[in-house]
Amino acid sequence: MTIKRTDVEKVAALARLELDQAELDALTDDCGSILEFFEAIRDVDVEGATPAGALEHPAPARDDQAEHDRLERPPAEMAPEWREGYFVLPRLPALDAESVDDDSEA
Amino acid sequence: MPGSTRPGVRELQEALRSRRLRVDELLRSALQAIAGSDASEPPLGAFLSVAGEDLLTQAADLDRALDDGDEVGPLAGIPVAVKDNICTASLPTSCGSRILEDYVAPYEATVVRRLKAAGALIVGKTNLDEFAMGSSTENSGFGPTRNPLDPERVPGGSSGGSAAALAAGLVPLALGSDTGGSVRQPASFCGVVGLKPTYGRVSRYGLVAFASSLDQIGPLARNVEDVAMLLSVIAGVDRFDSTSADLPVPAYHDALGEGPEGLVVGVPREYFPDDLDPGVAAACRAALERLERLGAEVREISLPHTGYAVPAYYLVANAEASSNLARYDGLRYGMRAPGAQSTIAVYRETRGAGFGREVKRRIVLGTYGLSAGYYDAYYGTGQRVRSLIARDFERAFAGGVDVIFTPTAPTVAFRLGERIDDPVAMYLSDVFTVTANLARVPAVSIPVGRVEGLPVGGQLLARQFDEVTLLSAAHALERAVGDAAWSEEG
Amino acid sequence: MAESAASPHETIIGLEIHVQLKTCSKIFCGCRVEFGAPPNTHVCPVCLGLPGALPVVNRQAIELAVRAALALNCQLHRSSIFARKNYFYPDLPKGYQISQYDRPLATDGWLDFPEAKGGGTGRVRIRRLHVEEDSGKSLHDRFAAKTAVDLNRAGVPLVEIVTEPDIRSPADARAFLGRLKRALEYLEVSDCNMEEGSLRVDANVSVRPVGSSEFMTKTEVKNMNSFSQLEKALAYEATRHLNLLRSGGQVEHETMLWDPVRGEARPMRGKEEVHDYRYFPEPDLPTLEIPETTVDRLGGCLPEMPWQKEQRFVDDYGLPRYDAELLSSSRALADLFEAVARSAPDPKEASNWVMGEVLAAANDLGLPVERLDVDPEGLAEVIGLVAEGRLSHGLGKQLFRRMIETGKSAERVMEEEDLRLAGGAELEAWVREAIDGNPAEVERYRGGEEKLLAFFIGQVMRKSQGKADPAQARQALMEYLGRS
Repeated sequence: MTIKRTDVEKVAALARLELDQAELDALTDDCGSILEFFEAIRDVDVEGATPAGALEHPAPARDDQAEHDRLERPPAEMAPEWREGYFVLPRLPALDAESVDDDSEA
Repeated sequence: MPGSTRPGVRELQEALRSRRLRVDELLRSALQAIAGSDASEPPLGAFLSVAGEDLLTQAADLDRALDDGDEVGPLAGIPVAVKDNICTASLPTSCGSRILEDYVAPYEATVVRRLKAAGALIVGKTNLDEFAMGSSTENSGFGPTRNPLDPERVPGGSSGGSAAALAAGLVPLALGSDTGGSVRQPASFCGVVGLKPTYGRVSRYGLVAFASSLDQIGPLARNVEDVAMLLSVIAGVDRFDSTSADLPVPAYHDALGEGPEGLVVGVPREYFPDDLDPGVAAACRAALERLERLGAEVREISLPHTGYAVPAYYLVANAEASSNLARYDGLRYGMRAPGAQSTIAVYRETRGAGFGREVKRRIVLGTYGLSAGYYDAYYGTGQRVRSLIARDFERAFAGGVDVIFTPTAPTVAFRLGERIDDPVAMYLSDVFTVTANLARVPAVSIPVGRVEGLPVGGQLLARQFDEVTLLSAAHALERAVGDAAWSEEG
Repeated sequence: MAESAASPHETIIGLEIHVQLKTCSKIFCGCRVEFGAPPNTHVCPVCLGLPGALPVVNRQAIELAVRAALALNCQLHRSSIFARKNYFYPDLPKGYQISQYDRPLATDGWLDFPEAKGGGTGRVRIRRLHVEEDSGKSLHDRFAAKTAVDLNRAGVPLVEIVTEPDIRSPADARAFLGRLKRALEYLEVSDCNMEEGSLRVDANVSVRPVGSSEFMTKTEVKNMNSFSQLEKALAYEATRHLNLLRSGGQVEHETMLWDPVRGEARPMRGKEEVHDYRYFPEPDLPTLEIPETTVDRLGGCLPEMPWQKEQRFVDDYGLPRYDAELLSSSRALADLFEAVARSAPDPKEASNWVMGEVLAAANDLGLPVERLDVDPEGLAEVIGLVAEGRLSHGLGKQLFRRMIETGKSAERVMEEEDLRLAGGAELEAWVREAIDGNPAEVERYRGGEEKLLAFFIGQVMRKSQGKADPAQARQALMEYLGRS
C-alpha cells in the first residue's frame, strides 16, 4: 500500500492541517517511505490474535459529587480570544458549516 | 570523571540533614549551573524554562524546617528537572511546540504534586522533541539539546533535555516520559539511568498525551538507587487517572541490595542482530559476562515478533497521537494563527503553523491509519501484532526468566543532523525500546560501557508491576559493571 | 418504479434520541451539571480538554444508563468499551467525543407504545443504547461574525438510544417518543425536557410502497424541539419524499434542518466534507465492567412502568381507563392512590378523591403532590365517613382540606371545628324552611313529580351549609311532603 499526494491532501483536510505545496510534496514522500517500511508487518500471521485494546482491569469510577473546579487560573487567561464569558473565534458562514443551535452532532 | 563521582541523592540528603549543605546553596548552585550550561557555546539547550524567586522562598522554608529538625519529605530540598510535557502551574508547559509557546497550565500533573509534597524543588522544564515525538531532541520547536559528552552529538530523545541535564551535572534527578523509549534511549546516549515503569504504575494525569496506551512517566538519575527513590515518590494509583493501577507501592530503594546470585537473565537473540554496532554488542556481552561471574544464570531466549515491533508501535502510536493532538485548535488555549477570518481557517492555519514537520507526519499517518477503509490494515493490525509481542514476553517470563537483558539502542549517540531527514532511520533508533511499551512491561537503561568515549546503555526488562525485581537486577548489574561503565570494552 | 410510486406508500421512521442523564456532576469530571449557569463557569481541565487531563467515569451516570437499558428490555453488555469519535467542532474541546461504538453498553431492546390510530399497541425495537459525553454549545448569533463557545454542557452525561426503523407514521413517532419520555422520567433517568435540551431527537425518514420490504433512500431530520414539531417535521419530510418519488425524482441522502418558524426542512449546508469519525477504542479508559451485583440491584429496583401500573389499576381496582392513566402519570400520585385504596371502602371512591380533592388541594396550595402532606389513612377515613353517610360530601371536602392544612387527624378536626352531621330539631328547622320557602315545588311534588325530592334535599343541604345528614334529611322531607 502506498500513499498518493491526493491521499495526503485528503487526510490533511480531515486533520485540519494547512500545508503548502512544498510541504505536501515532502510529506507525500516521507509518508510513502514510512508506509513502505511498515509493510513488513504484513508478514505477521495475525489470524486469531486479538487486538490489544482497552485495559482489562475494570475502570475505576468516581462518586457523583460536584467537586470544586481545579483551575488555578480562569479560562479567560489562557483563551486567545475571550468575550463576555465566552471563548470566541471568527466565523464566515460561507465557509463554516451551518449547524443546529444546540449542536446535535453529539 | 563524570557521573560516578557526583553526589547521589542519598549523599545530598545526608549533607542537607546534617546541615553541611543548605537547600538554598544547593538550589542556587543548580540554577547557576543551568544558566552556565546555556551561556557556553554552543549552548546545551537542556532547559526550556527555569524556576525563579518563588523557588528560593520554598528553599528558605525547607532550610528553616531542617534547622529546626522538623520532619521533611523524602526528597526535601532536592532539585528535580521535569520534562516540558508534564504540566506545572508555575512554569510554562510547551511540549517543545510552537503551538503551546507560552502556555502555562492552570493545573498540575499528579507527579508534580507528589514531588512537591515530597519536598522536591522543581528547578525547571526540560527540552524535548515536539510532543515527545522523536529520538534526538532535534524536533524541538525551540532548538535542539546537545549531548554534554559530545556537543556535536544528540542526547537522544525525546527526553533529551532531562538526560542531558543529568549528564551535565545540573540536577541529580529528572522526570521524562517514555512512549517508545523516550526515557531509556536518551539515558543510554547520555550515560545515565532511566526507567520506564509498567504502564499504570505512575499516573499520567498532567502528562500531555502523545500515545495514551503507551505513554508512561519515568524517572532518570545518575544511579539506580536514585531512580528507585524517585519512583517511590511518584508511583501509585491516582483517582484522576483511570489507567493507573491500584496496587501497593513498595519502597523501591529499600528493596535494592540483592546480588545477582541465582538471577535468571534472558537474552533474546533477536536483540543482537548481525548488524548491531560491534561496540554496543561488545559492551553488552561484557556486562553479561560480569553478571554471570557473580552468579547470575544467563539464558538465550527468543522473542519472535521483535522484528515487527517498530511498525506495530508506529501504527498504534501515530493513530492515538492524531486524536490526542486534535485539541490544539487555537480556540481555548495556546497559539492562534493571526489573521484567520473563519473557523476553518483558524483550525487549519493554527495547526499548519504551530506543528513541526515530524508532528505533521505523524498526524497524517495516524489519521490515514484510522480512516475509513484503512483501520483494519493499519491500526487494527498494529494492535494485533502488539498483543503477539506482549505474548512473547509472557511466555519468556513464564519460562522462568526473571529479567531480560538487551542493548538499549542499536548505536551510541549519533551526530546532530545525521538522521533528521531520514525518518525511517530515526524510527529504528527505537527498535529495542518500543517492545516494553507495547507489552506494558517495565524496563530500565543503565550504562554498561563506552564506545569511543560515548556511553552504551544496557536494558533490563521485567514482568508487569515487578519493578522490585527489575531495579534489584539493575542495581546488581550497576555494581557488576562498576567502573567499566566509564571505560572502553574489547 | 412509476407504477409503484402511484400506489399507496408508507413512511418508515427510525429515531436517534439523546437523553441527558440526571446526575449532579459531569460524566468524566467533577464539574457541576447546571442548566443556564453563566457561560464557562462549570469547567475544569478535563472538560476544557486541557493537555494532560484524563477522564474518570461517574458511577451514577453508568447506573442510570443501565437502568434505562433494563427498562427498554435491552440486552445489557456487562463488558463494554468507550471509543473516541473524532471530528472538529468548536464546542468539542478535545477534538473527539468519548462515546461507544462497536461494543456499546446495551443492544437489542424494545419498547411498546400505544399506536396513534386504532388503539393498538406497537413495538419499536431498540438497536442500541450507549453512553457518551455531551458537547458544549456554539452560539453563532451571540456576536457578529463570531462563534461564541460555552463549555458548561461539555461532558454532561448522555445516553444515545437508536431505534430500528419500525415506526410507520409521524403520529406514531410522537406517540413512541411520548412513551419513552414517560419511562425515562418515571425511572428518574432524565428530566427529558426538550426545551432545555435534555431530550433531543433526530429522525431518519424514508417512504416506500406499501408491501415492499425494500428500504428507500432516507434523509436525516434534525432540530425538532418539541413533540409537535417532531410530528410536523416528519410529516413534511415524508410528503416531500413522496412528491419527489411521484414526480419521478430522486431523494438525496442528506441531512435536513427543520425550521419550526417557516415550517419547512432545508438541507444542511457545509456538508461537502464526508464525515469520517475514525472511531477507535478510548485508551484513557479501561473496559467498562458492570458487576453482576449492580445489574441485580438495578434490575431489582426497577419500578413498575407507568403503563403497566395503568393496566394494573384497571385490572385490580376496576378503575376506568381515564382514572388509571391519570393516576399513573406520576409516581407520587399513583403511590398515594394505592395507599388510600388500601384502607378506603371502594377503589373508585379513592380514585375520585385523589383525582379530585388531592389534585385540587395541590393546585390551590401550589405544591407538587409529593410535597403535599396527605395522610392516606386519614383520607381513607374521610372517604369512609362520607360513604357511611356520617358526613356529607361537602363536609368531607372541608374536613380533608383542614386535615392537610393543619396536619391533624380527622377526629380532631371534626371535634374542634364541629364538623358533624346535624339531625333532630336543627334538621327539622331546615326541612321546614325548605318546604315553606318553595310552595310551588311542594305543589308539583304532591302532584306526582317525585323527582323534586332531590331539589328539596339540595335546599336543605344548602341551608345547613352541608351539615345536614342527607339520609335523615331525605327521610324527614318525605314525611313532611307526604302530609297533605
